[in-house]
Amino acid sequence: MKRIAIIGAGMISNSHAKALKNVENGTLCAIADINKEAADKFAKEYQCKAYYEVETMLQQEKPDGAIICLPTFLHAKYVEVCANYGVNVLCEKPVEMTVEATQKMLDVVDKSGIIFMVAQVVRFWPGYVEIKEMADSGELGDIYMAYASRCSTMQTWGNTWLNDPDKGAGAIQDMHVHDIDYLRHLCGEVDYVYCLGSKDDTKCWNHVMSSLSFKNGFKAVAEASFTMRSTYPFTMSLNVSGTKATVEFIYRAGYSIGDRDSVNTVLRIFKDNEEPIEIVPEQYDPYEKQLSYFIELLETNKQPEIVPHQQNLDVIKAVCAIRESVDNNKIVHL
Amino acid sequence: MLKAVLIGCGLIAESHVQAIENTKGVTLSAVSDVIKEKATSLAKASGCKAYTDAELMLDEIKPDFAIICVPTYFHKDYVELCAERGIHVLCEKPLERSTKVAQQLVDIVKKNGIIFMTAQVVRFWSGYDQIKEMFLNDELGEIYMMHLRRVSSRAGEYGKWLFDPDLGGGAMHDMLVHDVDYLRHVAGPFESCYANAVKDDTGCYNNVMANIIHKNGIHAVAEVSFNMQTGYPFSFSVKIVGTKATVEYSYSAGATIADRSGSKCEMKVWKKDQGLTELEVKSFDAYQKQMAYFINCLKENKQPEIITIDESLEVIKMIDAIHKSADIGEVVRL
Repeated sequence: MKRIAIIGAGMISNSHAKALKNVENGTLCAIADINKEAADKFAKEYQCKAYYEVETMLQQEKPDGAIICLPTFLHAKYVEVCANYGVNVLCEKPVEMTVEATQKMLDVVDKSGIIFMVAQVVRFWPGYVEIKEMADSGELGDIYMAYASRCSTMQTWGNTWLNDPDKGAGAIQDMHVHDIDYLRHLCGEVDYVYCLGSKDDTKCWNHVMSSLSFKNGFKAVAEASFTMRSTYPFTMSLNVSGTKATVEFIYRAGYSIGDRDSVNTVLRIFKDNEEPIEIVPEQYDPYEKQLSYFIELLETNKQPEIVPHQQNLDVIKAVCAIRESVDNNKIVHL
Repeated sequence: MLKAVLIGCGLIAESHVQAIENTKGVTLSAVSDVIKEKATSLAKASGCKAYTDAELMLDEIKPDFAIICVPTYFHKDYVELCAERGIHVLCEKPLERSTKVAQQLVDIVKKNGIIFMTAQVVRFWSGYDQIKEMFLNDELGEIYMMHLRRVSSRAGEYGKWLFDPDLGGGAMHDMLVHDVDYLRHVAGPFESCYANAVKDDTGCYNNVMANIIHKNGIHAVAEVSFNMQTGYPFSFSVKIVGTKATVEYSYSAGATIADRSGSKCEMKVWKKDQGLTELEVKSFDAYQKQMAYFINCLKENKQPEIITIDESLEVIKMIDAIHKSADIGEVVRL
């Protein structure tokens, strides 16, 4: 049984704690948050120990793994703390704010030899998984164009850092990283980018459409927004136009992404000279899938192959290039 | 009773013939096509005369106006035949294949003083007309982003010229012109563009994501494709995200745009603080609306205001700029 601690009792830590309940060979031992109230409340709800200081928790609990659920700009710092104690890490996305911070973090990981994975949960998400499998098996053929979209109303879970240009940077970093990561997974290395974007009153680029050109000639557009109005449901979609097949996936949640009860999702597949297929992907919990995979890594002492370290760096390079592009209305080569 | 003739009996001719049949005050006197069977077949179905020589038809019939449905790269030549004879013209889109020839066409029209309209039917299309109204009434507020989409398989009986890079130009010219024209209609003159585009085995850019910035700062991405696989319905959609409302409009027809039986259509509006409203999209024939408007212009002896020839020329300039951007991989300013 692997003992897991969570650092940061914010919104996303709930997804991990709930998932842990259903993961074999994994158990939640403790939570750490500098906000005592938040730590206590979380500890009570998920029946684990509360700490208000990360190093104390790591020293006393000696967990097998820690899940870092802190604001993005604190990731590198706490990955280093965990690495110093030899504690393996599952780190929330985006891995960091800058290429330098990400590179430094990966160097620390390398040197310490801990097992490290970024929680790019979309790589485990029903629908996205099937499309990646179709690409790998050759069913899609070459990709002409992919369009990956992620649109939401403004997220208000008590997070001022999220819409601070240096700490969270809004949709262009926090939402966009999901699709840039998935497109890296699906299409390969990014060659150059162009981003069309609008800032909202937070001064963050909270509606962006990024054009990606990949080294293999594939093309894609990723959209991310926090600008949808009123009761617009959290919506993510992926369309891929390939030489052998056209696929379309849409996931429409309730108000927020975690609201999977009222979800509306479908995967449509069109192949040359075949009848179209419509599938409703099985609604398993992708956080559970992700955690099971992480715990398997701990048991087999392996680094993640589904979310390779080099790709984490590639993705932050692409996101930072996108930010440079939108700031200057120009094409940026990676 | 106004006398109309139609030149070019291809795929789109049928839509205009139907529109004339359902419009008061106009009658179709003759049709012409260089392929005799096409002309006789359409003439028989609509009870009018057939010609293989357009000039002969114009001289014998002496119509009030001609509907030009020949391949794009012949538009200027046939407009000239009509203009020299003082015959008014309703000309299919795109106006012409290149800015240079489109400019010549415009000069011919202005020199001869005929009434001229490009059949940019989307400006009359149900749903699109409602969105135009929302712009006029400032129901959307400041626009963060627009995404317009128009995708199809190649299952329709399209002429070979359409997928010749020089003659029809594929989706980048024939499909994209609809959305670029509509953007000109609702968001005004263009500032810059960047095309994320892929050529397929036809040599045409048949998958395009055109990033467009308008002079007034409105950002839009227009997506077109002719590479949807078997069974994918001809589909188009508009998503607009503004400070006052988010709008989603979508329409899917049969395999081709001409196949409007069994079409699906919806318009959803999320107004700030008001929740979701599903608007009724009236079902009417946009070609008939377009015809009625043009006929009215002829009766009142005035140039069309909904679609001006100068705007049509701007649209072709923009398509050329998008083409150039795709060729050189850079942002093109107008």
